[in-house]
Amino acid sequence: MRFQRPTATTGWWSWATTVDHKRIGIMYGVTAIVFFVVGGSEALLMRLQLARPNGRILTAEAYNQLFTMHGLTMIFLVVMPLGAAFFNYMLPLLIGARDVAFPRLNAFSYWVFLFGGLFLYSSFLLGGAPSGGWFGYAPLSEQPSSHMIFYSLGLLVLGISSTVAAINFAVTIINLRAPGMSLMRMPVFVWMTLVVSFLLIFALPVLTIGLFELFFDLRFGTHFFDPNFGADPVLWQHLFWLFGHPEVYVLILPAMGIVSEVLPVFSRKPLFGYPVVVFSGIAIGFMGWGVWAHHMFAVGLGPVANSAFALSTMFIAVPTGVKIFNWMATLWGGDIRFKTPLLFSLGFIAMFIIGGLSGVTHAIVPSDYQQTDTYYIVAHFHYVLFGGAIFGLFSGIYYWWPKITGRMLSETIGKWHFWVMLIGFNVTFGPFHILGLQGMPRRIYQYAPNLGLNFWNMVSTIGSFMIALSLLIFFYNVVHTFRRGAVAGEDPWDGRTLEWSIPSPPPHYNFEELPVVHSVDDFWHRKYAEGEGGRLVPVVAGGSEADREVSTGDHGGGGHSIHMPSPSYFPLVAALGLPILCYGLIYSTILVIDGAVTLLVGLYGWAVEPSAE
Amino acid sequence: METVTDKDELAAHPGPKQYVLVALVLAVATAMEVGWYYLDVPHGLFVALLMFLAVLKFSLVALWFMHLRFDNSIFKRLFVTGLLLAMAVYLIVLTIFGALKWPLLVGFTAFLVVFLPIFLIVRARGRQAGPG
Amino acid sequence: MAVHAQPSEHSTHTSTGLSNAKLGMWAFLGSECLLFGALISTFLLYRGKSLSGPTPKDVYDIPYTSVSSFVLLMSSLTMVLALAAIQRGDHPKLRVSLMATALLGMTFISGQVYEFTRFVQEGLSVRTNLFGTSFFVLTGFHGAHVTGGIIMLLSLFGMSLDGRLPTEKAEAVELVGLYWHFVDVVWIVIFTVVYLIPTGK
Repeated sequence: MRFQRPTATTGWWSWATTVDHKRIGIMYGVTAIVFFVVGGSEALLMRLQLARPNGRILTAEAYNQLFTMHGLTMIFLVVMPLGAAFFNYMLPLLIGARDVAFPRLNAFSYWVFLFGGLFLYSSFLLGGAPSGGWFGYAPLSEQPSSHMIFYSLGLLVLGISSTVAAINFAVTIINLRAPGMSLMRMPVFVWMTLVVSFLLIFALPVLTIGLFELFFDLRFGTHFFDPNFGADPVLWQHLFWLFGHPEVYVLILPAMGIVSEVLPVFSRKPLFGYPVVVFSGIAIGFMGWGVWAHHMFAVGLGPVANSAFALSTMFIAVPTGVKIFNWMATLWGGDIRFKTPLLFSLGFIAMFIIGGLSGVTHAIVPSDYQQTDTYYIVAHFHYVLFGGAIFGLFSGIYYWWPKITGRMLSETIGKWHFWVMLIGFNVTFGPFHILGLQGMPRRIYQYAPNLGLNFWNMVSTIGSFMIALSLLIFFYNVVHTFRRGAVAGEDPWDGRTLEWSIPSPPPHYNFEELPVVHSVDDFWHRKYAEGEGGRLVPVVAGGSEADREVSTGDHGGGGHSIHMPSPSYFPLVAALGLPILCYGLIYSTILVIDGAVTLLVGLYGWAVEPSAE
Repeated sequence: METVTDKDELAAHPGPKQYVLVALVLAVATAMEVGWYYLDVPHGLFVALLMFLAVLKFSLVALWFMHLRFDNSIFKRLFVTGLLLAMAVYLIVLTIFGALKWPLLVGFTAFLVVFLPIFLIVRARGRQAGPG
Repeated sequence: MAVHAQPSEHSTHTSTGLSNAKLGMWAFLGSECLLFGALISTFLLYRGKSLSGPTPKDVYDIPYTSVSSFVLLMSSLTMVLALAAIQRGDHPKLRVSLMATALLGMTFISGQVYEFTRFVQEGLSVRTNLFGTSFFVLTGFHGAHVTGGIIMLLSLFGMSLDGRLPTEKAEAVELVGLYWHFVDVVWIVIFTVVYLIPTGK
């Protein structure tokens, strides 16, 4: 049986069958932003409920579903996919490649992510969303009222998406670098992608088993976490946090990579201590495996375990601190241009320092006994995940927007976005430190009026609407400049890395001729040499086709004979089998068979379809 | 990157005879395991013997059948990283639960922190001295 | 603009000179260590903690499982012989070895099915107690992996019969082989840690 490869290049069918990393990156980004609005709306509802004591906007059940889905959405459907959007779009450009190692697997990752997110959200219509928290602690997770079956299956599906994506990116970085780009000449963002990929490859399987064990308990009556049969619910916590802690580095390292790209460009100085920044990232990746039980200090692991993990947690602050010093040294003495990408990166550094400091206070076990399960912890992780990861990702959005769309976003509107978001963010989450230390517990839908919590809760709610406003400003920026924005050209920021050497947006084959790389920031060195006194001197005729050294193979005039991977619809077909299979596992064996058959047909077609038509 | 001539590569690449030999060793090891199962061996010794044989069989399959001994070391590093990471974290979890005695964890950590670096350094020095 | 495909098998230029697919497979196998490690750890954690019901000593038939284990071990031999055959260009031998591996795998699975059915008849199901829960899920996951492997082996066999597995595509056999050996290696651990050690004298 022979299947013709689809050939469309325009229209929705071309997007459905695309294997082009740039289109997949855009789809990841757009989907993630949509989920950001959804997750943000969930947060606004929660803040409305908590603005005043004895709030009556939401029932307890509704509130629990909202905070569970808010956490799941922001982590799995926003921050991770935004990271994936940048890995997808930028990675091949940064290493001088034409696409990723496995283009169809890449498309599969996206479709599985989309279907997994939709599956998770369909729970709202099918008996209620999961309400046992994003961390799903047993035995509460095993009560029918927690609706955790969608949680277990949904995260399993999303885990498949992330695992195959991670393998894809890791192989791409190891194997598809342009000639001359040794590992220590790669942009820092690429290094962070490599560390993140390995974290996912090794951490996701642990969560997978935890989720399967939960699912089997829920669906087939096994007893993995049932104390009535002698099981230990703490096993779930170990399995979850063995994944969960590396996961937080998965969430933050891409943003750190972006900051490491943006700071040098906007201070017109190379990154200070490139090898140290790289090794710190690797160190964080390794050490991140040794701290997971710091999420479990109050569970009763015993003084030896608690002390060991307290020590390892304090140690892991070191490489992060090292990176912060390197970033500051990069800025120091630089010719700084305060454009929006830089503002968001600076915001990242400031907010992440605050979040990191509160994190260090958690490392001290007796102190954590006071803080755990209070709003103080909520403050910490919002400072690192929103103030850190989201700000860093917005820095990347503003930085790479011209390359992706060919147009500049408005600087003025961008600055409004930044300041309103920064202030709104601090007004929302700053008070959480105070509320937490005053004893306000987490995950409560209501609080009594005489506890002294009223004022800061109201302040926080006001702040949350400021954040919403800032996001509206961002969307206005996007819409306003979509057709009217200044044309970006190849290199609007006077960048340092390879993506700025090609048109904006890039042609589908990326590089007309694959570059040969001689150093870190190779593109910068093609543009500038150092004159007397270290002054930058533009290289005459630098960047011209004639002078640029290119690899001898695989090039073509105007891209007409460059071979690119053909589109395919089988990744979409295979991905479709997964949610069907999951619905079947909950409702009906027929759907299980249907889903399995769809998946197998998709995989089979994928395996045997011809490489070219 | 070592340069290996085609002839050297062919010589290093095992053929069917070597594979059958490995399979024989695997079969004998399995027979020994089952045999000891029925003997009156003290439990601690039994566990040690069985672990040794399991490690031996695992290594034989990984190094010969999966070709790790003859392939680029990057594959070995990928696999061993996953393996050691798994052993480390799960040993810690089981020890915290009290399902395993502390000495096992201490022994494993000592192996990782003391023996492994020494082994790697000695091997690197050996490679520097010239091809074997 | 004409869009032509560049299948990864024909692209020999990679930064390391190594195959993308092989790197990907080894990364995947590294992750599988974490997967099976979690299942084995769950089993070890719950060993001896069941509140009731059959224990391993009550239900295990070590001689029977030993034969099963031996069968799976030998399937690794036939697998690597299949790879050696296609690398030599010996396609009839390839097909014989592939089919032998698949048949040995199917024997192993049948053995598992029979063993599990007997356990259930003796009162040990996945719901009975911690032993049943952790044992069946661990060995079930392993069996599912073996089954997936068998499907891939039979697919390779079919492709070879169809003339769609030429010597240039030997890597496909190598990759399926790596997966198959890994599944065998996991069983080596399971046999030792789940069957022999808990019930040894």
